[in-house]
Amino acid sequence: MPPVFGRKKPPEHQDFEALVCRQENRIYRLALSILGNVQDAEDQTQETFLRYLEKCPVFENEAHESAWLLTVTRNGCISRLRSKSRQNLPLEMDIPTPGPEEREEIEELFRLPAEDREVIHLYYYEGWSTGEIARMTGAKEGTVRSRLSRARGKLRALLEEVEG
Amino acid sequence: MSAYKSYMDRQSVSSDLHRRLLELEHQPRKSQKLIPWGRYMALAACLCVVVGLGWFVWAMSDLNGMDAVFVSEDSSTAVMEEAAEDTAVEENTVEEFWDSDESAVAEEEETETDITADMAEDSAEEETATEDAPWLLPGWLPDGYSLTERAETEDGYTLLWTDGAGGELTLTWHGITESCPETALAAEVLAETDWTEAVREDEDGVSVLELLCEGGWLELTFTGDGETLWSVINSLWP
Repeated sequence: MPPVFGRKKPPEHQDFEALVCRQENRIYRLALSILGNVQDAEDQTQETFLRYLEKCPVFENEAHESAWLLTVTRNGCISRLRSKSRQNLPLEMDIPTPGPEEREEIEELFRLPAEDREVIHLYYYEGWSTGEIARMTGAKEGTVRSRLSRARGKLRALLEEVEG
Repeated sequence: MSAYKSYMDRQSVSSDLHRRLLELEHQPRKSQKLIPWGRYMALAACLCVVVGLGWFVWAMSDLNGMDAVFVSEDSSTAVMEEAAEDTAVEENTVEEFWDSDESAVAEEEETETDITADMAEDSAEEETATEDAPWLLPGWLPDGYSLTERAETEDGYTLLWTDGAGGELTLTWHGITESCPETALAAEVLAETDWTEAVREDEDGVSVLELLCEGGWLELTFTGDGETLWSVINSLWP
């Protein structure tokens, strides 16, 4: 469902505390997957909720709520990456250490470009369809599919390299 | 991807962040919409300049007319009559302007009608705008938006009016020529304020920037066919 911005209606009926409890981890995980940095992901999570309080969107249902919050998070992450890129700041990877059985896959996955990680996270973790991802990212569905396929291919090649 | 799923399932916000998030609601926030006083002041200043200039021109022409009368005591009657006629015409114009509200309203209505007619003509031309302007790549507008009007200023700006679900969106371009190739790429966002944007990459390597915005301004670099073109897009929301 595409995010629709409500028009300045105070979200009094939407309990902010409940919203935070319901969505904070989802937002944080998307930010972590795109930014690959715990500190940046925490900052972006806070930024997303600040944006929510500023915009006061009115949601039709929980799916709409998730879509809006994840879209804001995703765009905020991209702005952060661009801002760092413009300032020639290094994009430091700092993710929580994976378990020994996950290590290979996680490390290789975080070597993929941010746009590929974003698609992988939304598709495999959030369970969004390529159509929903396309609406969120403003891309064509075919583009999302090809990006997903490309990301899978890269990941496979990286894993084969490690195993080989 | 099972490893990724189990890894992500374990990631959660720290208790410190959770506490900070809950406190956000009670923190003072910046106002949602600032009144654009600067814009109003600029408009008022322009109005003052225009009125002042108008008055100055009127006063000067009036004085010139009187001078003509005084200086031309020795001149021929024809010159005096000519000066007097000029003055008379101007006085009539001034009287009409100040005294006849009805005629002023009628004139305004007439002007509005002209503008509406011009807009209608422009809108009719707009249907072929995409074909006329190769840089106006289809699909760059936010979902649900359509181009409603287009105008070009003498100093090289292209103004576009669009309308859609989120309200009216006005875009101003500068520096894009009609020779911009069809494969123009919206390559880099140089600055953004309060924008949510998405870069779309098509299969054939053509990249189009789609914009969803809530205000602020944006500067884009367009590149295409090996050349770098540039443009500035301003967006003003009501």
